[in-house]
Amino acid sequence: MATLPIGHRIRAQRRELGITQTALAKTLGISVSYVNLIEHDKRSIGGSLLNRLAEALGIEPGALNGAQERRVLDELAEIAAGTVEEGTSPHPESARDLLARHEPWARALLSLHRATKRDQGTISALSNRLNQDPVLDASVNDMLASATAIRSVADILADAPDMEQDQRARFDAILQEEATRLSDVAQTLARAFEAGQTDVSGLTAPEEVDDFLYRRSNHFPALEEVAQGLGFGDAPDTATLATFLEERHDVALHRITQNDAPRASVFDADNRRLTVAPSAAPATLRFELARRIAMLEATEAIEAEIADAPELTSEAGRIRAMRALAAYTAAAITMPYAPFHDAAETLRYDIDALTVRIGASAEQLCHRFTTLRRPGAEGVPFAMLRANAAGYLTKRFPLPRLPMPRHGGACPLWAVYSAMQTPDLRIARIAEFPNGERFFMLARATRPQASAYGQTRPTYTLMLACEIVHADRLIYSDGLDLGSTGRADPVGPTCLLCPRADCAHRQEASIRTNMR
Amino acid sequence: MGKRVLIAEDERNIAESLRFLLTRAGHEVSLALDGAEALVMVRRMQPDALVLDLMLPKVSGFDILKQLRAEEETRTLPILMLTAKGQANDRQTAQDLGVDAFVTKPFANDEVVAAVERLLNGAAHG
Repeated sequence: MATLPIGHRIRAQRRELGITQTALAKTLGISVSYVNLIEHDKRSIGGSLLNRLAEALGIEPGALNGAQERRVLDELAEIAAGTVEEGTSPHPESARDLLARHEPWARALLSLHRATKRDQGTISALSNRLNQDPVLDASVNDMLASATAIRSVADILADAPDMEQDQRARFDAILQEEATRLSDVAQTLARAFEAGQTDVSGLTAPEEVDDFLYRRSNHFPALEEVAQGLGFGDAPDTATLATFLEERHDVALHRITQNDAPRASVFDADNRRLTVAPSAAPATLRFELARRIAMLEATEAIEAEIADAPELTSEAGRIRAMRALAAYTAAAITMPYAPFHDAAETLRYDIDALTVRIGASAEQLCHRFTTLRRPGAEGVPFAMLRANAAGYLTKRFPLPRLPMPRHGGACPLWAVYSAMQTPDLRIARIAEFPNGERFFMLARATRPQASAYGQTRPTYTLMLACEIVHADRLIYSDGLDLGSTGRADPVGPTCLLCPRADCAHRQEASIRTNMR
Repeated sequence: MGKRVLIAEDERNIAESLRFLLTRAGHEVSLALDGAEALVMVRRMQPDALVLDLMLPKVSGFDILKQLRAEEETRTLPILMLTAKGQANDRQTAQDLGVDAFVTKPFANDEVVAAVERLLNGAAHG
């Protein structure tokens, strides 16, 4: 068992009391070298020795159970996993050493980490606020309306010198009225921005990739072309893809009977072998084959896409983007654009019907929906979210008017969370945001298939959302009143940004109140 | 040659200046100040072109667009949409719904008059 680094605390307390290692060893009836080993975490102690040691040093035995150290180590592990570029993550064992040898530094790192997390939350809240805040929204609209009227009327007055007196007086009055309105709006805006401007560039690799995909509308014509050029036709099956890999790239598919690997597939480049987990469903197997083909056939096209992407500033971000685009290409291979778009529109985005027709999983279909942005053959513009059982958002693709939180959860009233309570049932909701905008939300919680007894199968939820104006293209909206007076659930973006003061589900105070 | 143009715009001052401009261009201009009124007037007066603001009270510009494109009599009615700067997504949505042309606010007078003339002459619509 790995020991928790409590030696530094024993040493510090001993010195504090002015006791030598020799004296302590004598009191405890152990050797001096043993005391030394304990103080350097080379020996774990427990039972009566721990109690006697605590007594000799005048501290509670509970204080030496390592609980404090455990918390510090857990947080250090979080830092190692989350914020450092891939490939250079510190080894978990080194966190123990850091704590044992340089406890103040370890604690300094933690406070820095907490401050960063807090600031990230504020930054993303502020950036979302720009899209969501009803006051800003209204101000910008007022400003544009005033500017439009002023510009137009001023031009009319300038080039119609022979205008009738009454008409001229009327336009003069409009100019006065609009100029006053514009200055009021300017003041409102200035007040709203008093808290200062915020820079909102991506902060971590996943966020860089989110930004990249979002700015490209999650549509990559060059990758669609590569996929189509492979000549698999409308619906390539598993056997076709496996044969292609074998014949063109000498890669053999290997299915094992037992596997603890967390990933669906592992590629061994040396032995040209693609190992797929036994738990992989047929749709997953097919997708993994296509993903491997994408990585072998579309490398150049993928690299070209990310080469000049300003959003991808870190190496980790670029690696992650490569993976995301390989998955994109795999989707383009297994679900070619034109026939897929056709089927989706014809079947009105019926996920069950499409699963049967196309043989893809619900998640693969939802992902593919978000990529249907080819000019002239656009699908419904969707946002997509995936949440795990802890409510954490593990995948997010936003829409311009539906920002999604980067940290923590969204509003608990979103369908993505309500679906958690009724696994396997699709929940269709009309959600109204505080600024009056309405979105159609469709969510379902799924438990993945287990491949062996005792395996954990954590439920996760997938949600699609679209602007209400497109909802009638979805079979799931049948029977719902999609008009602007129809019933809708009042929801918000996140509590932090939500102006609904009387909401019973509020978790934390809104920043909007203390920012005015 | 005078044509009938309907302007659906809730900002009275903008509507008024548009009416002046299009009247001066020789057209017969009517105003609708909200979305519901616009729908009623389109059906009643059957205009030759519609200038449609995106953000209308009661029935939104998108909803109007969608309803007009779903009806036989108005399927090919030339529609010019007024949008605000920086609303690329709105333009995309409007395009998906079948709008013929856009003018971005704040517009230049010549620009909006020329766009209406193009629509009336059938240049933008096949």
